[in-house]
Amino acid sequence: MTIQLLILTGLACSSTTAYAESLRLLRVVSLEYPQAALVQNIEGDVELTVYLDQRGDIDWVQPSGTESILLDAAFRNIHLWRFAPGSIDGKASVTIKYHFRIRDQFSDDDSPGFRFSVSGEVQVLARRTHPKTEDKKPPASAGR
Amino acid sequence: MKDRTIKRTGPLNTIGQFVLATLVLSAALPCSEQWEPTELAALQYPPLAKQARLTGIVVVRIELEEDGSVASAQALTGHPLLAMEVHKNVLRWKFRQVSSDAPRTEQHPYLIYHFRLEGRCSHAAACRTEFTVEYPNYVVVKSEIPPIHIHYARPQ
Repeated sequence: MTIQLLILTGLACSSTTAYAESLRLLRVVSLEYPQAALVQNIEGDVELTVYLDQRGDIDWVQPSGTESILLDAAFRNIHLWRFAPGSIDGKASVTIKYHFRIRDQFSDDDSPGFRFSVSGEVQVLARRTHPKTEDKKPPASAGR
Repeated sequence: MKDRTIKRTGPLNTIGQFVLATLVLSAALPCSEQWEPTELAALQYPPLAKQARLTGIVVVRIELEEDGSVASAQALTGHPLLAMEVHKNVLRWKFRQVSSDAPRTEQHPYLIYHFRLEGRCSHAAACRTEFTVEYPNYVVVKSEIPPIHIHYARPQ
């Protein structure tokens, strides 16, 4: 009973928020580093320009990036997000930049995972699971 | 002779109680519509909580610095294991004031984290966590359920 009440209260707050002047977010969904990209040590940036209709639904997305695995992951992810309707002539666009990075180590106040900033920057960080090809040491017998 | 009649609570009574409690709770917990997150970090479902099949709600009340970063957080409800993770997570968030009609010093936004376990995964490492933020203050942390492996010792 208490749980249901808390959920209702939270949802009530969400629904009554006034989104008047500018483009605003209603829902952000996290993204895990694509496993295939992690195995191949693929890093990179993806930029998605999202065009919204009058209701705030995604009309179409213009992607920009080189790595198809990352592009695909970002593209799937952005369709889970929800935007509040824009007020400028009924249409709006927003650019979301995804930065996929693999690190060997993380500091104490840093951790792998998903981060989002309202400026449109998304960071997807992962710990390296497979060594880079150039990091592999040659076998001891090599060159003899 | 003992009276075995069971007194049934009518549906209207239940609904009435529900509505009344919602109103009371809404008044007690200030709605966070004055604030919204500008920076957020996802939270991984705690592995121990997954193994223990621990789900539920954590409500956390936060106090903000002038720059919107979180100065302190206090869990109002929820299992300590989940509340501890929420506390660590929310300290990495930043907020901005959406509406300026309320005095800044009197605003203490709160967040509701809902931990859910749905679906199954083949092993613990393969379990995916999905972290969803419904603006401004409702967070769903959803994970698949890892299997429990029991290894019985062979009798000597």
